[in-house]
Amino acid sequence: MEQMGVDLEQERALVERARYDPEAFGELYDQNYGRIFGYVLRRTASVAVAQDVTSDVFFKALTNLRRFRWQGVPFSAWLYRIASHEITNHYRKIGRDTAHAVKSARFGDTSGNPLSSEVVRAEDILMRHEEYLSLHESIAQLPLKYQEVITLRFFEDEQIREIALMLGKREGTVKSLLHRGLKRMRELMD
Amino acid sequence: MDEEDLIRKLGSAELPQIEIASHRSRLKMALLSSGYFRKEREVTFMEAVKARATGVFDTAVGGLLAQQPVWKVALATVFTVAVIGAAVFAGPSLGPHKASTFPEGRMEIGGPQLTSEQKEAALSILMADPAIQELLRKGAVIEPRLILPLEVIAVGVDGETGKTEEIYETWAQAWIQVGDTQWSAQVDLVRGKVVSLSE
Repeated sequence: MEQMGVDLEQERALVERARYDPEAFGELYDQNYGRIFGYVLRRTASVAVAQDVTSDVFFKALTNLRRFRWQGVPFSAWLYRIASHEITNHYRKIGRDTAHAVKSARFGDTSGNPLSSEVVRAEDILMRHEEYLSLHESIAQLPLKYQEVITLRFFEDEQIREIALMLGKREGTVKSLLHRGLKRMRELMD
Repeated sequence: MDEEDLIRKLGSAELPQIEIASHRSRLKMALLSSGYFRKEREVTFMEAVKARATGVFDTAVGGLLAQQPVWKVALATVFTVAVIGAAVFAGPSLGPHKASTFPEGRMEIGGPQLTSEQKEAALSILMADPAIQELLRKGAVIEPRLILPLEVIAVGVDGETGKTEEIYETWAQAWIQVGDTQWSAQVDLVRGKVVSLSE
């Protein structure tokens, strides 16, 4: 059976093995790193923050893997949920003003360390996506619950059903959050 | 702007598709070397030292991960070395051994031993270490027979290319008696320094 483009039976077997087998965990990691990093990047608009948060996500996933219960949804849905929590934690740590947090995070990594040339190059590429950055500026001013659904729907191109799985919410709730989030965003942009 | 316009704008924005290859590989190495997958060994004669032996894992990895997890160091060094495994005493013949109290009693150890040059080098490194000198001032005794081989498997990750390679090194583990207390020191023979010292 497939869900979110994933063969669930195969993935379930892989997750079971990954609890104790580093090679299997490595495979899970390889399959999911890109989407999680991408999600965090497009939520935070900062390469340095995306690195930090992605690391936290996978570390949390690993340390909780033996407690993870398969619930018939793709493993990535769990990772996305962890990622959303870690993004929330990140903004809580660096300040409640999320718009300010976005700006300050974009220009340096949160640990205060200098950025590698690879990260600097990546940030330059990010800066060229002006339209995305302009939209992100508005999204970042919304409450986090709206940011999550809008990013997942439009930047990650997920459908309502998938978003509901990822966030552990009902589809109706997701639709409502999306609608209210877009309304608030329009108000900000007008 | 109405909702449809906004949706159109959101749907048509060109999104950044960026990946940092070095972060991807460094994080993977850090996760796989974090000790989570460490095999539980059967109880062997090292029962008394097992807790100390795992200090090798925790020390080297923890030193990288604890205060500033390696992935949080945004400035990548050329090689980030993560210790992914170490056997206190190398060799496949590790099996159960009999010893009442470590380190007293006869120890049967399988695998390669330190050469006399390596032992001398380990001793010199220990004697030059300030923390060890402090123990010596308190009456510590370092017996060459208690300087034992420590096989370390490290994974080097090139911060630029993400390429990994396994590096096998022989270090030394020294057991130092200070009164009734036993200390354990791990000595990096390659870089010439004591990497950890613990009770």
